[in-house]
Amino acid sequence: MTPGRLRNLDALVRWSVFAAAVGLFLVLILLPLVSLNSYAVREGLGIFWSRLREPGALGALRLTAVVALATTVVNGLIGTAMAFVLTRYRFPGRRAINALVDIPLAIPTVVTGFALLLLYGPLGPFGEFLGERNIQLMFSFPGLLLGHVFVTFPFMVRAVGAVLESAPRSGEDAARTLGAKEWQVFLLVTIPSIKEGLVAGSFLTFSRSLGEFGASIMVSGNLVGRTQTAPLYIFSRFNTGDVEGASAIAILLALASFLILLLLQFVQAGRGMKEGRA
Amino acid sequence: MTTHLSAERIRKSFGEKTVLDGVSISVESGELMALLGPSGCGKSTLLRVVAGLLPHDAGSVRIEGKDMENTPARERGVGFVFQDYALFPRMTVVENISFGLRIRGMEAGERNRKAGAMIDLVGLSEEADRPVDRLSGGQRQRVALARALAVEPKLLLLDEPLSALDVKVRERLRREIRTIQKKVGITAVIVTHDQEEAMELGDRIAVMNEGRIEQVAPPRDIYQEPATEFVARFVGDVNVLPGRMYRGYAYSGSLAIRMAGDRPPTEGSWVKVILRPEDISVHPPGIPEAGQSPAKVESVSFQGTHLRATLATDEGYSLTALLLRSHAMAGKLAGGDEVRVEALRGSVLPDPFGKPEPEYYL
Repeated sequence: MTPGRLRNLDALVRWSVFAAAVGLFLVLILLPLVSLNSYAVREGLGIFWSRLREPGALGALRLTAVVALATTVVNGLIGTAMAFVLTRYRFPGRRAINALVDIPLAIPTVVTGFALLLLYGPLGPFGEFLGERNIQLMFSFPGLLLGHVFVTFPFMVRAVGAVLESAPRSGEDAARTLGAKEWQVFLLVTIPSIKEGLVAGSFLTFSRSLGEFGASIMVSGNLVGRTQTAPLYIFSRFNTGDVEGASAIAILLALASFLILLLLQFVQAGRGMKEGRA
Repeated sequence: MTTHLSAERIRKSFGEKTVLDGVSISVESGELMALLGPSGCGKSTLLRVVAGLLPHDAGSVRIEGKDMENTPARERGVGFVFQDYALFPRMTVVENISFGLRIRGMEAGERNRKAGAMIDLVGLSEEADRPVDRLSGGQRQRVALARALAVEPKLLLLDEPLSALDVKVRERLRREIRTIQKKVGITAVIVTHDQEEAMELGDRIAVMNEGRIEQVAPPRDIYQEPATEFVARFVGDVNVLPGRMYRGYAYSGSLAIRMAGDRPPTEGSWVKVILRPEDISVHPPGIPEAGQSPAKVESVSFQGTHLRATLATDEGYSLTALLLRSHAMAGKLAGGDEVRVEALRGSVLPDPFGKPEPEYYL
């Protein structure tokens, strides 16, 4: 084979890889999103609005936002604490715990929900104890929150942990020698230094919580207007044959996720530019 | 002069590894002490112990005579300058410098006046309101210095403050640190692994090795009369030869070394002879005078201001000598030449295991 033909073959291979990658992306990722739009508005925007105004719909969206926000706050606190423990403390079993943090990513979320049900449900050991005191965790907001916190737990730990790992600690020492008390060091130096990790972790946690389905359906009981989140609402609507109703919420949910992604990109690009100028 | 800082028998281990093995050091008021040693010798650890940033296992730290055992870093009155600057990112120069003053609750007017004076001191008036992320390395370290001095510490500790900078900036900032330290009149300790830096900055130099202090002395003495072979080898270039004392001179073969110190070891004892390359004088071949030794040139390399010649005496000792470019023989000296060498000055260390080599000489 001559060098020229070799080069042609090379170009052909490169072109086919490019075409395959882009083509598959279009078919696998973009096409479903487009179909979502066409379904929702096929009957006209009027139907879209009326579906949105149905009593369960807006409630489901609001609940989803509230749960996602609460999950982000809770994991912002315990996840950050955990990240500190894993990066700054040395104790026996640290590596084991470090490995276990990622378990929620590996376990199917339905299994997670099921496990929580077994533990806190009416028949579980905790559930019985709580039930005698008239506290019901499952099929209520706290249960939903518990499931979401479990499922999204690794995101905050990893995002904050990565920043803590790489950030030099001399800034904290500098503050100490300048007369700062430990709480001032934490508030004025440590927290600002892990801000990037907190932001990234929050975005990940929030968006993951928005779409959470498996654990939610197990622990929530899917009670319309009380524990039905948007993904559960979509599923219920579809099951009862109300494709337009499902589509209306689905579009909003997809749009919200898309906006969050965009916001995250924007925040990160802004930071990159700032560092670039330094 | 009074003792301003004293550390006594400080011990510190990280797990199995002993990093400080009973270190004692004292620094006089207004003095700049350079803590010099190879990486891993424990010098930075000692500095952090003094600052209270690291707990020590045993020993005591006293600042102005006061025991620091139960005093946390924030109350020790110690300014610390870090190798990586340790500035607060996303804050301006002024905000960084006034951090310590703000923590102390100083009111804004007073604070700004004070920070302004510090900014002038380190020559950053133009950059006062710029974020520190946009400054050069040299400028950042000036901010760090001003920040440390702003709270009027009793003691200034600098941990390799210049080693992250490039040569030109390093040399200029080195001089400025010296000027500012004398101007402010603050007692200071600077940690460095760069002997040139230690020589230029230190009123005295403490040379550390493997968790111990080998010698504390003014730069000139450290260079001319090193207390240990380690100090001799770490600070500058050196020839270390086996020798023996005879009538107040040390002899390495027929090479006689006149002592720089005033307390020569006992007659007949074995010693290590410490000869700086620039203290070896090279003469044209001929009949050696008393104390000179015939030698052969092995190699010569040109180094700009001087020539570096590797020589072997007829008795088998290997020597490095420096010849200024203006030296009469500098133009033509080459490998294989016969010469005579003479030691202009040197110092000796007792050598308990001494045995001159090569064997055939005795």
